[in-house]
This record gives sequence, structure tokens and C-alpha cells, in this order.
Amino acid sequence: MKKTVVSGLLVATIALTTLAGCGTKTVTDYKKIMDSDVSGEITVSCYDSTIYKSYLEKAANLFEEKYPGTKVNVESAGAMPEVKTQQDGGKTLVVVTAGGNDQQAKDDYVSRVNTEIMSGGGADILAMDVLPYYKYADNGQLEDLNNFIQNDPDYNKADYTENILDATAYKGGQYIFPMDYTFNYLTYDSSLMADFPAQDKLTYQDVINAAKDGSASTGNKIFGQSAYSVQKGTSFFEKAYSLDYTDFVDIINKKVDFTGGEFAGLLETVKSYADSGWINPANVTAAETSREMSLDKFATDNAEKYYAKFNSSLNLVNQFTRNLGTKTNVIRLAGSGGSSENDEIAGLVSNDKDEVHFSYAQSYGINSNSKNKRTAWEFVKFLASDEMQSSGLGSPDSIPINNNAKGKIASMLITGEAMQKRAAASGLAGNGQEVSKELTPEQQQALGNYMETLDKFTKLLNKYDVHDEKIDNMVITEVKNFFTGEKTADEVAKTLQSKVELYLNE
Amino acid sequence: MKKVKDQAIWFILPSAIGFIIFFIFPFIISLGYAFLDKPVGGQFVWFQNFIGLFQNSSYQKALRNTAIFMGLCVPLNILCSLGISMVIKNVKRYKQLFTLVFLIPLVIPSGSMVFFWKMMFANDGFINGIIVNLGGSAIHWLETGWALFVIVLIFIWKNLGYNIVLLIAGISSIPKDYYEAASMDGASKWQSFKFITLPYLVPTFVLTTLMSVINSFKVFKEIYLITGDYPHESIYMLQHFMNNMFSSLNYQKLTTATTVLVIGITLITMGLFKIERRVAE
Repeated sequence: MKKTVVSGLLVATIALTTLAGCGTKTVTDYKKIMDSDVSGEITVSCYDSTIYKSYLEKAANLFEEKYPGTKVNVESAGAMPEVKTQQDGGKTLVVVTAGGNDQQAKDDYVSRVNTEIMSGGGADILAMDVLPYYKYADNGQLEDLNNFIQNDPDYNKADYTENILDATAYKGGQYIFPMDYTFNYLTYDSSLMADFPAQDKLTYQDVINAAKDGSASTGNKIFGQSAYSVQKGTSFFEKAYSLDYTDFVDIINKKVDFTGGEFAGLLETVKSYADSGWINPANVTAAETSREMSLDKFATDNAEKYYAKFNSSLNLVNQFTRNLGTKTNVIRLAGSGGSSENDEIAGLVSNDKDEVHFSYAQSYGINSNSKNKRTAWEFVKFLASDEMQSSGLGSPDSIPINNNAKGKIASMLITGEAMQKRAAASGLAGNGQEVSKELTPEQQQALGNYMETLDKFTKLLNKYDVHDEKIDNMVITEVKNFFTGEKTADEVAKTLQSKVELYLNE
Repeated sequence: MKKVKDQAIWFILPSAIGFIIFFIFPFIISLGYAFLDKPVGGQFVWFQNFIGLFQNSSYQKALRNTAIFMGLCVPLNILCSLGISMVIKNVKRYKQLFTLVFLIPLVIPSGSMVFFWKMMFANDGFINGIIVNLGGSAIHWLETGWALFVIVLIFIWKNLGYNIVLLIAGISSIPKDYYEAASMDGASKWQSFKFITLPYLVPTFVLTTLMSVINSFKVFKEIYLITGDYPHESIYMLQHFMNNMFSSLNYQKLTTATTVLVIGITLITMGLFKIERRVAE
């Protein structure tokens, strides 16, 4: 009896000791934080080693100069990208394969960050490249940046693209600060359909309706994309799927609807597009082989004509400069191709809910465990500052979130300065040609037109979907079974429904 | 008697210390998390996590699947191993060889074993090959309701040998005189099995049941290696839930689920020992 009491007491004591200190919840006084000095050491952690790392390292140096007594450490985990170059007749083809496309390495990074955060530590600033930020936000491990914004007299709301910031809010809190944004727009080939009715927002169906008769007679495909591709993010299926993403997966409300018929319908529709010859057939071979690119393949791809093309905002400026004779670069995203000579802007793709999606290349959140939140916030603000954003470093092709930097970046793109900087950054020798930083009157005109279009499109962007790597991977892996003919659309939908439901409701 | 007890303590001590440091102590610490709303700077929330856990649909599914799996596997495993050990017992030659054959699955590393089962049950695997050749249509073994049976098969294949060894030992320990006396009295083979073998095997049954229950929790390794962290919903087990909670940093749910599991296993063990005692009396 005595023994039981003793061991009972022992257990109770140990249990109580572990619980002690957990009883009180500290309320963070953001006013006090913002009144403190910017000093001390902070750490920024990112997975991506291409865009994020170079931008962060440059920013860290400048920040340390601006605020003496600070130290910014940059940690990155991903493998360096593989860069292959080929030259032919004055043209240089640079193929950048993201070295970080290794799922195992990504998972390892995420679980490492998880463990650090769980044990009360972790980097002060977390780059939201591969981390599931909504989970961190749900668990209270990310700071709501609004707390800093409201207590920071130096923060000027008008400096940043407001609708982009607003659309990235999650459950009413601003847990991430995007540094830039990218969006897709459609172009049409004016040599194939001269009278295409361009508009601000359009749907795939609009394009198909306008092009299907022509496509049937000329044999040209309407879109250049494959119906499905093992290479993530490049297929027509994925584009159509992400357009209606929240109908299938609603992360915020933990609702999953794959079996409602819409998803199976989507799969069948995409397949029927391929069967009708409107898009390329599904590419289900291994990712490694489909990623190979050579100048020959590039040239063949370029000669191909498509009625309409997906274009990234990265190329929007080329739309206005291609007749100026300035040296521009064409950024070819994986999975797209075709001659862009006669391309005219068709408009932004929207879904039936009038939503226009955008994405970002870089964004950051502040770890709630950070001991130096003042400096961390100042650094995030510095990353989004005019100075850093117009430096042309990091992700010079996406549109800066900072409104003042937009015009500067655009003129750098038009003069070719941005391209030179990028070539230098990736270790390529320039052609020795000095670029003039002054804009010619034609270039000035192009800049004006570009900025006007950019502004118009930016205002229409209203939807940023919270994605989850894990769910996206489940979908892309499972959908392959449909395009290889192993499973029917309903079977795929059913499997996805149960898997994603399990995952989201855990 | 007292002296023996004192000496025994010294023999138990090394393993007891290890057990306390590496099992009991972490468990008690993790128990603390089960009562907090978040792991860092959390508040004491009484039984909120436990209520939340039992309302969690994925957990319910995992609980149900684990119960179904155990309900299928444990009796099936004991029946099969009892049958086989009776056969081995009555075989005149190569007794050891037969026992050995059934023990092999135990010593094959899970990794290579999983490779074999994957080959058997893949969509373009061996079994589907036979079915298609016979004119049937391929079955998605691991992505339909069949998955549960595949896993039960793997479990029995793997754990049969262990139970057989235990049961053979149990059968051998029954004094031969009982059978001789029974046959003198004119008992049939079935009667001596029913009235001698079975009752005397009860302690062994308790042990094998206990080991099967514990081993059935260990089947996760194989399921995980074959189908990943989100398998078909019929084979999503408690360990999937806990493993996924660990990787998605939800420590409260993880520790709550562990606590419930520990309580569950303790109750099952206590129940089994009680049954044994009652039967022994």
C-alpha cells in the first residue's frame, strides 16, 4: 500500500513539474516590440537556393550596412539548380532545372523546420517556399504581421500592392508577406485568328469556341500544353484544376469534394480536348526524360503554331517591346512552346466565380518563437523596400509588390539591363555590349503601355489559393492513373476523396 | 525468501532503469502535452484534446480500422498457428524443418519483404498477371477494399511462425500420461484434443493473443512501406494517424492518441490476464 502511494506521488510530481509554467499565456505587446531598437542577430531560413538565397544574401549585406550592429544569417537547404547552356548563332539557350525538385529533400527540410519550431526555436524569418504555412498559422507558430503593421509608423500601406496583400491573408491574419506576384494571361496568335475578341477576363471555353473550327481545318492545336504531364505544374489538366481548386479542396474549411462529379467531369473534359486534337496528348513518361531540352527541340517548339498560349506575367513586357529591336529574353516555362511572333494579349483567365488567380515567387513569415521580432520585421520590410525590390536581383521577372519599384524594374527589363544582371548572376559572360540605361522615346512609349496593362491586370487579381504540397502531390500522382487508362475518372475521384479527406481531417 | 527478493532487485535494476528513462519518463512528459492547447507556451485545457480526438473523423476511421484488423488477425492467426502446430506435432519426421520454414518470415527484413509483396499485388504485378492471363480483369489490390485482406495476409504470413513456436512449446509441456490415460479410457483423438490439449494450452493462448495484439500494432511498418502515409481508407491505422501527426507537428493530438492507446493496451492486457487466472482456477 505504502509503495503505491509513493509511486503515485512520484508520478504526480513529475506530471506536475512538466505542466508547471504552462499555465499562463503571455500576451505579446507589439507596441513595446516596435519601440525597441533594430539590432542583434536574426536568421532567415529558406529551402530554395536559386531565387530566395541570392536575394536574401544581397539583402542581408545591405541591411547590415544600413543598421550597424545587426547580423543576418541566411540558411538554405535545397540543392543548387542545374544550369545548362547551349549557344548557336548568337542565341543562347539557358535551361534552368530547379535542383530542389527532390521530394525527399523537401520533406526533410519541412520536418527539420517543424522540429525546430516545436522545440521552441527555429529561424526568425521563414521563407514560405515549401513550408505549409497555413498549418503554422493554425498552430499559432507564425506572427500575424498586421500586429507589426499597425504599430509601425514607418509602414506605408500605399507603397505595396494592396489587393495582392489582402488576397494572401489567411483566416483574417496576414501571416505571410509576399515580395512579388506572378499571374498567367492568355495570348492568341493573330496570324491564325485575326478577329479574336480580346477582353480583360475570359475562360478557356471562350478561346475554344473561337478557335475550334480553325483548328479542325488547319490541324494546329489550340493550346500547346499536354493534357497531363508528370512534370509538375505544366499540364493543361493542372491549369484547369487549379482554376477551380477551391471547389475540390477547401483547406480553410476542411472540405473536400472530388466525388461530386465536377472533378471527374474535368478529367473527362481535358481528355476529350486531347482526343479532339485541341491540346497535346498526355505525357506520362518519366519526369527526367520529358525535361530534356536542346536548341533543336527549342527551335522545333518555336516553329509550332498554337491558337492560344498560356503566358506568364514574366513575359508580359515582351508584348510591348518586341518591335523595338531591343535585346529581350524569352522566358520559356516548362510545358509551353510555340511561335510567339504574332501573339497578342487575349486576357486573363477567370473561372465562373469571376476569380482571377495569382501566385508569388517569394514570401516570408515571422516565427512566433523569434527572440528578435523587431529586427525580423524590419528585415521583412527591407526585403519589400523600394531599394531591394528595384535592385533587379532575386526574382527580377515577377512583379514587385512595392509599387515604386514596378516602373524601375520595367524600364530595366526594357533597356536590357535586367537581362545583363541575370546573365552575370548565373555566371554567363555578357556579349560585351553595354546597355544604355536611358530610355529612347519608343521605349518610353512601350514602358507607358506596359505599365498601363500591368496596372489593369493587377487590379483584376483577386484570388490566392492556399495550396498544400502534399495534396497537390496526391492529385498529380493519382490522376496519372486516369491518363494512362488504368483507372476511370470516377475511380480516381473516389480515391482522391478518401485520401485528401483523411489528410485534411487528421 | 527475503534474501532471494533482495537479490532479484539487482537483476531487474539495469533493465528497470533503462525502461524508466527511455519509456516511462518520456511517456509522462508527453502526457503533459496531451493537456495543453499548443506545445509552446500553451494553456492547460483539461480533457479538450481527448474530446477533440474522439470527434476527429480520421482518428475514428483509424480506430475502427485497427479494431477490425485486430478482430480479424488475432483469432485467424491463432487458429492457423494452432492447426499448423498440431500438424507439426503429429508429423513423424523433419519436425524442425517445418518449424523453421514458418520462422523464416520473422527474420526477413521488412524492406525486402515489402518489395516481394509489392511485386505480388501491384496493378501490373504477379497476381494480376495471372488473373489477366486467365481472362479476368486486373484488380487494384492496394487501392480498393481488397487492401485489408492483403494486409491481413501479410500479417499472418509474418507472425505465424512466432505463434507456432509458442504453441508447440505449450503442447510439448502437456504431460504424455494424460493422453495415454485418456486413450485407455477410450477417448477419441478429438476428445483428447478438446478436453486435454485446449484447456492446458490456455496460458499459451493468453500469451499468443497478447503477442498477436501487440504485433498487430507493429504491422504499420509494412503497410507504410507498401502504400505510404495515406493508404486506402480501409487500411489507415492508428499508427498512420500518429505518424502523420508527428510529421505535421501536431504534438497534442499525437500525445493524446498515444495516451489513449497505452490505456487501451493496458486494459486489453489486464483483461487477458484476468481470463487466464479465471481459467486456471
